[in-house]
Amino acid sequence: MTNWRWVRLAVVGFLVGSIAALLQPCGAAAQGVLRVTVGTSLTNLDPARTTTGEEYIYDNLVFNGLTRMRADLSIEPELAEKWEYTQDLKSWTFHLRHGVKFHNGREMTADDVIATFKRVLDPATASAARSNYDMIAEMTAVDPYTVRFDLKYPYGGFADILSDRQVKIVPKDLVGELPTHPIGTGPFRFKSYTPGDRMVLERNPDYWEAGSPKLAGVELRIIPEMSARIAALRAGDIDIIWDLPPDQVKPLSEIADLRVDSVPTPSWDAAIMNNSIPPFNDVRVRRAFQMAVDKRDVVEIVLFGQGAPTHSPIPPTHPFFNKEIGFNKADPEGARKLLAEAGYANGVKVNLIVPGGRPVRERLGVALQQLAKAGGFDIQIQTVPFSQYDAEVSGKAPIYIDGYFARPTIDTSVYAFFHTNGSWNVRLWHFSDPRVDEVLDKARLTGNPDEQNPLYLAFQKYLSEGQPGFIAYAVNFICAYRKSVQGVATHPMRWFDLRQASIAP
Amino acid sequence: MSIAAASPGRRLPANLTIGAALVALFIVLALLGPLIAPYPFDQFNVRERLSSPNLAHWLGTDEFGRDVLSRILAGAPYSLLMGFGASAISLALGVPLGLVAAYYRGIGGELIMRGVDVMISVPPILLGLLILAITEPSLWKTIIAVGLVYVPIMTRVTRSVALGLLGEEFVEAGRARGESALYILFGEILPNAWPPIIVETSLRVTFAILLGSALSFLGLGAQPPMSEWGLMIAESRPFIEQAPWIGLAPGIVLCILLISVNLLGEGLREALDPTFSARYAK
Amino acid sequence: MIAYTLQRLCYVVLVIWVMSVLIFGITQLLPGNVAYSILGQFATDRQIAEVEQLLGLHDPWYQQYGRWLMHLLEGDFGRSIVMQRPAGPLILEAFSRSALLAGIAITLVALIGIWLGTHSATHRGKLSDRLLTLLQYFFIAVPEFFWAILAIILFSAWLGWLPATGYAPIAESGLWRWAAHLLLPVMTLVLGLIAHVSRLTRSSMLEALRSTYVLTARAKGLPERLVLRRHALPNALMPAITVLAVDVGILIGGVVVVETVFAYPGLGRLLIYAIEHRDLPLLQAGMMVVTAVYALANLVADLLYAWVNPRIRYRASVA
Repeated sequence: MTNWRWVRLAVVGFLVGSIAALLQPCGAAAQGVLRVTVGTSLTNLDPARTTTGEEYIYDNLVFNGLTRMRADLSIEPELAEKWEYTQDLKSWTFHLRHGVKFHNGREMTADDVIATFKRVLDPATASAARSNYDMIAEMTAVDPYTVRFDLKYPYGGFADILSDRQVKIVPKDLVGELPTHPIGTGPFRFKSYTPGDRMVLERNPDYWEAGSPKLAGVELRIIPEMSARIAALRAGDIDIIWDLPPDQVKPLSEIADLRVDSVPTPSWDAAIMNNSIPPFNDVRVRRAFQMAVDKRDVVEIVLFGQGAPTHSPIPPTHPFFNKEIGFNKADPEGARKLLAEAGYANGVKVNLIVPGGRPVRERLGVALQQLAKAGGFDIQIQTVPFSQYDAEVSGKAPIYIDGYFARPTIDTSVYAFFHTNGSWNVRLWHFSDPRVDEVLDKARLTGNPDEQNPLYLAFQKYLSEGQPGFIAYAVNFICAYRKSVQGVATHPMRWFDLRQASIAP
Repeated sequence: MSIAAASPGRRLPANLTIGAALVALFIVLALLGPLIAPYPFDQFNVRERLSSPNLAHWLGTDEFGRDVLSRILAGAPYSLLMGFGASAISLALGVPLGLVAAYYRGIGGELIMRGVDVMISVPPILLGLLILAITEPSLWKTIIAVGLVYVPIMTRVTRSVALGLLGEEFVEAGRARGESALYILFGEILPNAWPPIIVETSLRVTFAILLGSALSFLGLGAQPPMSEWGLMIAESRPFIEQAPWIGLAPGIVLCILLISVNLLGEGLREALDPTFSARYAK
Repeated sequence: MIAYTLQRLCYVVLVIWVMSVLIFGITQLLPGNVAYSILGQFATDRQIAEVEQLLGLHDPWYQQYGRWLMHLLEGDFGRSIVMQRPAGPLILEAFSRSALLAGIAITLVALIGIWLGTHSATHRGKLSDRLLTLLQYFFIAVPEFFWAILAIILFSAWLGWLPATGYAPIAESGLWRWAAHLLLPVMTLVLGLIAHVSRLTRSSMLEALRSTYVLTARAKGLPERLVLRRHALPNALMPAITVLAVDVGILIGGVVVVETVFAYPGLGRLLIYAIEHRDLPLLQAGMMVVTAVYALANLVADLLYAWVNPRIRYRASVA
């Protein structure tokens, strides 16, 4: 009996000791490696094919574009030191920096730039950005460091759209390797990627901007559950949470060693209505939906106030925002009357598809379902995994929730979505209004904001009459940081500029 | 297999009475839910969102400001439907299969039993996942899936019981009288086979509720804004720290339901099959 | 014993084969265009047609099934659509992590459960026994996912003792951190099963203690401890072994839920991920692996039981 008692005591003692040791706070990360956590795995490592926010972060760390977008949404040179354009805005010449090396040591030249754009324009690459650049008629390498773009029509914002995610410059000869061993010119080199776990990037010691980057590396950690991400941030296992949900702003702001940043962005969420099939093919039904729901309520319910109602992808913070239109209070009787006029005296019964795995948009679905009830809309929520949207939902379902990231320019934010020939239009609402087409076409032809302003004001007015869908709000972009992280600003385009980032000890 | 007749003066087991009473209470609450709930289950009240239990909201509110107590009441029918509905399906499909397998011992019976053995070899949740993976999830589909998952076990139990009864005299008598197989199976054997089948069914109810709420928790069952308890617990996860009651309340109620059903099952077992209870109760 | 082993082995192969037909048949009914999932929204119709041709999606289903089965047997688990890489290494890596979790859990369940059952059987009627009975009863009635939520609320949110995520690679975080991350998921898994095992051990132990050979041993004057260890325990263990085998099935179910809640990158979570994203190849291959593992675990349990209990062997070989 005595033997056993000692053994038992020893075992218990060991267990207690171990547990005590386990409860010690964790050690800090390897020095100088910034750990950012995101919710979903990256599928595409080829910049031309990237489509998700997580992938855009990677695009901006491993690659560079010809131009770069600052946090205030203005453009500055990146791989192109300077550029000129002809009076008619149809010919643009970019002068590339000398001595910029890809991560494999080879210097970047005009041929790489041309190869990059050729890929994006090639339908076989299936790049989401293809239609944004269809104004390019011809590209010429004037010399190894000069590229000239000849456009089919004048486009004032051409330099702006070159800062976008999908047109980061890739080496022309290593295109096939991009999905597994991506090579770029960016501040960080690709080291490894384990889907479902993490992507490891290390410092590019030969980066062409002196004094940058300061970090030894960056890790993108994939943690699907938000509660796990928050726990990791608080424990110090993670330095930055990307895309914090709005309901977590208050609790996290109250923690001493964390900082929460919420910036308005042009990114928007909407209930996309299919204008070509019933019931939303009738503009009165679409208008009735708008009448039934007060967008300000939606922002409060869904975003906890972290956003602002809007009429179109032009956000309230933008100088072109049309302040005259205003937001209606909920008017259920008016909505019902309008529905009756359209032939739906007993209301409209419809399935609203909601993306599984996107909590804020799921909440938007639940909110709209409830709010539109009084106005005569009997809505059933159907959850479909967002990865199935392409195949089953986009452009096909009568009404579904989806959202889109900010684009670098107003034109790229609205043209593809609302112009009759817009490439996103046929995948969303199938909307067509000749007045909208006219103003959008005109606005493209000038680079002068003063001329564009009245055109876009008119655009918003036409949109509020035609109501292709229920564009709910422009959502803030929120990140949470440990206070030890310095030199990082929350970028409204939802990526991170980590060139000057560092971690205080 | 003896049938314990409740002879006058013999007390029903405590388990049974308590369990039955609790389950009855749940059923009553489920039926009366919409009438006695203080608020509609889907009514938003954003100003009072995430408020802790107070006089106006006895169990607090969720992220939309919906009253948790009202949602729990509204969700009671789903869990009960899950448990009893799925078990009913298993019963309806499994018992006839088991009877047939017992009676027709040849190729047919063997095939059925081999199939059953194979299906029992699969963890229930995987089977459930498989069935629900291919379709848009909804509560009805989950109930059917869970019901199907437990058919093999019901078949097996029914068959063993029926096999035991087949040798009895009344079966021989029936055959001598020239009764059809159908009559023997459903008219003679089944009435005498009920007790162990009932006991097994009550076990199934517990597992059906567990499996069904687990599937809803994983997003493959009830859909928002339904207030099924497993789904409520899943939806409470982002707010676990700010407002733990949103997940605790439905969870505790779910546990109480499970315990009640379990008690009922054990009570039935004690009442209907004393030998069973003598072997395992202690 | 050999005959019995072979018989059981054949049966396992049959089960796995039937499951393969079931898994393939059911998942092929999944709506949604596989080609779209691979190529994305902006693919042209021609590209879609090409990919469908390449994947043989228009062939009769038995041909597709045959191809899939052959690939599996050769070790080619297909290619995950969402992750754009071979499914095999993904699944095996996830499986090793799940196996770790399950292995630790079932060892603890066996050790603690048997000890608990024995203890409460030998200390009948005392306070600890009654308490145990009550606790055991409650454990059975609490769903796994609720345990997980409770554990997170208690240990992570309120006390802040333990991390709520499930995985920290041992290489970079060290032994302690790695173990700390495992503690909550393991604890949740164990709690669900311990009641089952300890309850059964207790009742079979009680039966064993009443049996004639134990009475004989006592009559012979053997000390209680030896009676317990040499006579009662081995016989009480047999049902416990069968229960452990059944528990593997419950464990697999529990693992799926626990991995989801604690963000533990194991096979259960991978399966849910595959379902959420309709990643057919990943789903099919993953389900096959789980089925095979479960069937093999049952096989091991059956063989163990037969080895310990000779009656089973002989009956089987005679039949």
